[in-house]
Amino acid sequence: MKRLHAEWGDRVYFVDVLVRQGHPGPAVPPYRTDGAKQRDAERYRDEEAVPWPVAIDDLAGSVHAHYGLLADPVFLIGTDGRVAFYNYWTHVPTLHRALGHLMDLNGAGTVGASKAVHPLATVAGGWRAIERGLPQSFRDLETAMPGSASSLWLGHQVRGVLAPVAFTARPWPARVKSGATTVAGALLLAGAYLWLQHTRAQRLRAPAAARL
Amino acid sequence: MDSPDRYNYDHFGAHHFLGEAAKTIAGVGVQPGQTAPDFTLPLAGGGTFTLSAHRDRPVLLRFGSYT
Repeated sequence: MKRLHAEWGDRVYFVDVLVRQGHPGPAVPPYRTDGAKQRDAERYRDEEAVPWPVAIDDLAGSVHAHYGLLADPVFLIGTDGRVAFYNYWTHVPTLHRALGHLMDLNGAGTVGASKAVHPLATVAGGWRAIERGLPQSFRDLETAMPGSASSLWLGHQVRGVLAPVAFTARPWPARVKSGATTVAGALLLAGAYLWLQHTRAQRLRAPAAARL
Repeated sequence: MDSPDRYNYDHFGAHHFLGEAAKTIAGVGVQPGQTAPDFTLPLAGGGTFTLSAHRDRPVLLRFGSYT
């Protein structure tokens, strides 16, 4: 997103809205006070070195609710105050393309929407959010979607290799995209395999521990 | 709208993931062509952000979480 900002930040206002904890844990419990949310917004801005404003939604998520309550969406809003583009799941190359179309319309008009999920960017960049809520966040995510937390961990380990494709601001050619999707799929499968092995090892250990 | 306690859940669960998938398929939220709901929110580090005060350029509005 910073690369997108570097390309478009002089022509487009960027703003983040901090919503609820997506993956709470012992060090990052669900918000019960405005002060806790304020502190996390500042930590997020500082830790991620976010160069644009970070706004803080209220405890009930009022603004989040108006915009649909999805976890990670982006809305491009034109100079006419209308939604020009809706990216249900943030994907920077998609936004780059949409911003280009919006500028062709002089900043106001309907560009469309994208519901596509792009697993490579998630696998390569999703671990940091889970890491903050360890160990509960990992356990919860593995229980909800077996293998997914493990694949995020794996993706983080090979982040340096994935980054040139996963975090690009501009769209890649179709051949590169399909290769990247294959890599992301392989990491997801590897995560599921790790999770199964871990679960199996736990099951085998449990009766042994009971005998002691 | 959910109460603050329900909105700020204690554990991420399968129903959250499935809910996100269902919302994506159903197409929830403000759709292209509709007026973006205006808001004023406090900013990290002080000050406020009002959407309608930023009409001279497009706005890229991203929702996200610390975790």
